[in-house]
Amino acid sequence: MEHIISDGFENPQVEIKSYPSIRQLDFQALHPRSVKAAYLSLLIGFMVLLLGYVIAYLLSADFRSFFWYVLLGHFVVFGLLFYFVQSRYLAKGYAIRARDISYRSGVFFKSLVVIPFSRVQHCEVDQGPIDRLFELSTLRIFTAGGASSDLSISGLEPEVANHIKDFIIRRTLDRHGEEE
Amino acid sequence: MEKKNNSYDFSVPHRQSIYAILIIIVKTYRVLIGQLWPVLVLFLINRSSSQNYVFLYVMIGLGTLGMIISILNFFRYFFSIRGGELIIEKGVFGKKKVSIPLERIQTINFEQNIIHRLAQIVRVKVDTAGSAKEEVSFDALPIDMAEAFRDEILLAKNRLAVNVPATEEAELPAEPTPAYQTILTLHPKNLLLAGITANHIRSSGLLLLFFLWIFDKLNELGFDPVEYVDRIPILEYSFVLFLFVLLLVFVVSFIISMVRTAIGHYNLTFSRSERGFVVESGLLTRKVVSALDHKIQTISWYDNLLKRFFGLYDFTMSQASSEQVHVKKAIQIPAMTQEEIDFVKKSLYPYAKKLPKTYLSMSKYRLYRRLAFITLGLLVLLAGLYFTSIYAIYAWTLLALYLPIQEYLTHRKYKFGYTKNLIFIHHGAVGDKTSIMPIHKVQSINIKQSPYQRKHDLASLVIYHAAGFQTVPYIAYDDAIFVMDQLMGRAEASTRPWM
Repeated sequence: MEHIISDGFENPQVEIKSYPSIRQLDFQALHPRSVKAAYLSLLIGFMVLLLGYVIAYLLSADFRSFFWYVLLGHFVVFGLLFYFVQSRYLAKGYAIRARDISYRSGVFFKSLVVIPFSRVQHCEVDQGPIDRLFELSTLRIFTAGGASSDLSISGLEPEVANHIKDFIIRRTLDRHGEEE
Repeated sequence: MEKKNNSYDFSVPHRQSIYAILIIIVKTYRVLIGQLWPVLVLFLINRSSSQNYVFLYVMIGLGTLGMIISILNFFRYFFSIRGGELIIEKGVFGKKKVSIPLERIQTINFEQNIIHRLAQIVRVKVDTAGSAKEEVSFDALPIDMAEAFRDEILLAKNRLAVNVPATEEAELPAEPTPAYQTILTLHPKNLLLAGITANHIRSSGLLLLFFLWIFDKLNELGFDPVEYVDRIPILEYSFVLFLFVLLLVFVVSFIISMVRTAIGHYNLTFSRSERGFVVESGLLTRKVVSALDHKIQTISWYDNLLKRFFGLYDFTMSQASSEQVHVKKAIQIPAMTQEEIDFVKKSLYPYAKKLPKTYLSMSKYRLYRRLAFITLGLLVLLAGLYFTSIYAIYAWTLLALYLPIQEYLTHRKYKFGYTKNLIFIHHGAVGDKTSIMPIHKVQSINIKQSPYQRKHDLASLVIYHAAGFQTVPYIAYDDAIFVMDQLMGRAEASTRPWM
């Protein structure tokens, strides 16, 4: 047991109060253009599904009998989705500390994820077609915790996304340097 | 490079054992049959269709081609250990060279099936910390060569580790083969106990699924089992019949789990190596699984009513592997005693001696919520069943009685606590389960809050590690924030390797 302690492992006692709290985090909002991007992608989804229903209406007699119910449901669901775009945007936010990144989201089902930089496996910046239209990027952070623990922050300005990515990679490398 | 008790010089390229060809052929056919058995069955049932013949010929052709390529592969497959790297040269048409730095190799596992054992060879799996693409496995190496191979890599790894001050091993082990300390050997008596106390409910589930599957297939083939049963006058649907079937399912599943346990854990030995654990077991397929200490993410043990009577636990160790997302390599030991578990705990976490001072429990609102859902679900179900099949109501009534009790026990038993280094979770319904996870294995933490939870100022905490996650459901929101801060602070301050 002694050799483990003397092996460069240090685990000094830390006062419980001294850990920084995520309560004090100052969350950064995503870029306002991401609201427009969200509206556009919702609109596309709305139109594509609507087109599908219309085609089904024309092709299948069975579908015709409950077409109007489907249509009503379609409008209600998308109406709600459109209605909550703004609140969803306001609910989202990220915060970066020296050792970790936090991301909160969700209007009804709220979620707050914290990933330490030392656990980041890899990190990338993506840009989909809609993103490109609005000059936005998506930052993806991967850990060894599996797909459900990975983080994806969309609606960032490309410079910001790349800046965060570089920062995280630098911090990750620093940590590995410390360890070896 | 000094060599003890082995005559293999891995600095020159080696081929696998010639039996590898046999193994490869068997493997090819197993894959083919595994993929194509529905087609084969169709073919046997419906011989007349000429289309099936064409398909069969194509398949046989593909199979043969695959086999020829595999055999060619064998002759073009070389491995060697040079310059601190494991080098593999392969490729039938082009030449491909894969080199893996030895320090990246995490574990080396041996496996034997019947062919391997008859031929005195082993399958060797080399696990690296990289992506799945860099996994290496040798289908067949002679046992002594495999052992020499493992020793050489471990030795080289240790030598490299000496130059790196931060690794936990300070001195080189005196012998190339690490000393093994046996923790437990599953003698026939304990194997029997393990079988008797196994989870029969799981086997029953599997059995029911199997019956349903058969039922389905019979229907597809044009038989109607229900009609058949109806024709037998004695077998009327009745409560007696229901009980009889239940008993039958139980007896058969009892036998199934006994046999499964016996085959899977036959002659099991669980031992402590220099920096990890090794399990060797199996009747038909002899398997050796090893786990290095720093790769182990969680350990947990659980009992059920029967196991508690004998003072035994099922024990599981989950470890991160390079394919962590897809496969969770776990070490599973049936029938371990508390002392043996304590020994594992002590050797794995020598730095942690304390137990948590306080524990968090789940809020009663979770119980209310669950009971409401169960009541609602069962009411809907029973209403539906009332009109269709009256005898299924017996089964669901039993369930209706059992589920609330299970929920209540789950609510009562759940406890979450942590010390400076470890997270402890006690849970279970009828049985008791304890899971331990070092805080420095935390990959990320997620606080979740549903509208219902927000109304009562509650939240759930999900703690991710490299082999899965642990959930701390329905605790006070303030507690969740506090725990998250504490765990994050400790995980980030720790320099212990998490993988």
